[in-house]
Amino acid sequence: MINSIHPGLILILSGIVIMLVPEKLRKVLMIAGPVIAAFAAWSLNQASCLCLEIVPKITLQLLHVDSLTKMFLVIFSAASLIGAVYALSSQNRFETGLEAIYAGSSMGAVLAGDWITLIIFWEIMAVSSWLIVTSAGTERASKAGFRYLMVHLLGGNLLLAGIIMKVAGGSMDITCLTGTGDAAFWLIFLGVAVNAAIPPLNSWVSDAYPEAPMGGTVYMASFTTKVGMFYIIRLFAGTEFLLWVGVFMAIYGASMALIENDLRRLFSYHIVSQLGYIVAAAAVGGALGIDGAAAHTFNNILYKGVLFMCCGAVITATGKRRISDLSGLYRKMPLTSICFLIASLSIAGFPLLNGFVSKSLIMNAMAEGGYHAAEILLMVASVGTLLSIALKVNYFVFFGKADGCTERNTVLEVKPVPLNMKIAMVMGTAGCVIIGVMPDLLYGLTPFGSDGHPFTVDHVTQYIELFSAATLAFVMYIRHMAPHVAITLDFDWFYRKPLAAAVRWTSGAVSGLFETCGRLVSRLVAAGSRYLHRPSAMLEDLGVKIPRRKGGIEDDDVLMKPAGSLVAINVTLGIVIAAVVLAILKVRGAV
Amino acid sequence: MSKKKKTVYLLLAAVMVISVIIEVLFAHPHYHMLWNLVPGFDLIIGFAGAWGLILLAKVIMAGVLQRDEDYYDKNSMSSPSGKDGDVND
Repeated sequence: MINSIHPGLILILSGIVIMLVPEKLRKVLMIAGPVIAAFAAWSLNQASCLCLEIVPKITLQLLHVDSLTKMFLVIFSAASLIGAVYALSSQNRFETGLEAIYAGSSMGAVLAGDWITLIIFWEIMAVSSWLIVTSAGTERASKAGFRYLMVHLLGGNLLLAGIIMKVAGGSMDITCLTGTGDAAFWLIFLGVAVNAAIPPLNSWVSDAYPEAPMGGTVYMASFTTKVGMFYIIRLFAGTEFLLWVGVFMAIYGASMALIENDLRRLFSYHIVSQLGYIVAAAAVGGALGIDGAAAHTFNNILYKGVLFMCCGAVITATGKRRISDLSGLYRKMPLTSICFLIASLSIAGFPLLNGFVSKSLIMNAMAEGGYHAAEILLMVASVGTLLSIALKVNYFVFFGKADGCTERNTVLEVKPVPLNMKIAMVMGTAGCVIIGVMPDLLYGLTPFGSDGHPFTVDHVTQYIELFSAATLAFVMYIRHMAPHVAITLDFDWFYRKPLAAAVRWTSGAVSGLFETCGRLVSRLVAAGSRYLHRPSAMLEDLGVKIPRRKGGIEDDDVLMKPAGSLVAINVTLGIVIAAVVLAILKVRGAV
Repeated sequence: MSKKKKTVYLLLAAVMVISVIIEVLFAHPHYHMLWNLVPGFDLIIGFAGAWGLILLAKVIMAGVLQRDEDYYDKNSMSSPSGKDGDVND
């Protein structure tokens, strides 16, 4: 039954066409695809239906629309449009087509009404995002892409195993799993946890995102982890142990970002940190918790998109990706610097910007639920976000002077940033400011319509006090805040070092075993060949002396080998026949 | 102490004082935990949190987790890449 258009399928189709058509038409399609998808998404309602019967009794429900889905569709449409504008200057038709397919499959995953539809779009998402990473064309990208694919195939298989258990149990429709606690719950949770970047399954974010093309990173930051968040909310809202998982993520991401030197790796850690807030809010559950989680995901896509876009602009303009190689860019890239400043204050939760609006919902959910320790720790994580992005990056990259570690910057060449990149950055930044000033626009989209009352005096002064005290600490310890030229080990160390060594050792041991077996067999063949050539050699080897006649037939190579072989075959046959006869006699005797 | 740093300290002090005064005069906390009721308590959380995080990240985590940039390339069969951090590596 069909009564609506699927926005995800529109984007997937546009992505396929984008790869095939000439450049001018490609650019038109890159913008037209997300715009048409946005209209299709906006026209969906709870009665929307798109069902396909693939085999008798198994019907795919491609459109399942509720208020949570609708909210995610709005932001996914906006993100795919902003991402497309940003990627307009890309010459790689393969990459730009894949980005549309990836965005479409993310919408498809969010819209799935049954488990099988979910796993289909989930896997398309994994494969298309892997291809986006590798489309950067560098050796680093190809290696990081391989690790990305391995982790996501593991997640996909865990999810599939859980889904098979669910479907075998007769439940085709996606339903909330909170409180079930069976094997299917854990398998599906682990599968979703990979996309949700829940430690220790988080390191693919900071491993792969920095290696993807600039436009690709903007897309990836907007979709994979956010689909993960959608399913954390939809399947696991109210699962209490996730509260501490979320709090850990928030603190861990901010702390890792504090010592990170690579810009895109730093922002990747902030994805983990912000996802921590969302996971914690979803764990609290209830109207406030679910609305807080959904609203924060919505805002996260906006400000994280701007941060990655600004970062891409800096890398495009300077060719540098490390903070220690950059400084004082404000004078050379004022628009990028201002967009970055606004987005960085948004992510920290500064009043009048969108992060503040959704954090208010989350903090209210914590306070009302009585989770006071978690509330304090999330405040500390906000302080960490301020330190590591809003203060550290703004000071060392954009607004501060060269400070010891950035002497090389004096000869830094800054190329102009393409206009489309600037427009996309401004679009995202405008979204951050508009929602920050008019929070009701966002609250109106949330599943339960909760109001975070963000602009009460106690809320605003709370954040001003937190941030001014944290800024004081930053200024006091500014010498220690400069990043070092180093890499930071994460959970990916386990599969890049010990697991890689174990694989190397195992393959070495197996090939060594085969080599030894091969040597043994060739020795046996050599020895056998000698005996076949001259059976009397066997007796000689056993110490029996055989008189040899010079010029005798035993010296004739041509004849001796077949003769020896015949003897060997006859002896073997004789032994086999004797064994069979003995066996028959024994059986008869027994009877 | 440089003049610039002094100005930043003075500005921060002014912001903190004004914020606490506004909190004392106008705030009506919805929740009743210590940090909601005691004016300026968020300053303590902010400073202690920042100090603790800087200590955790810059001293403990950096000491334990940071390695040379070619750490993962050392056992690799391929040539080390990314040594100078440029995007064209």
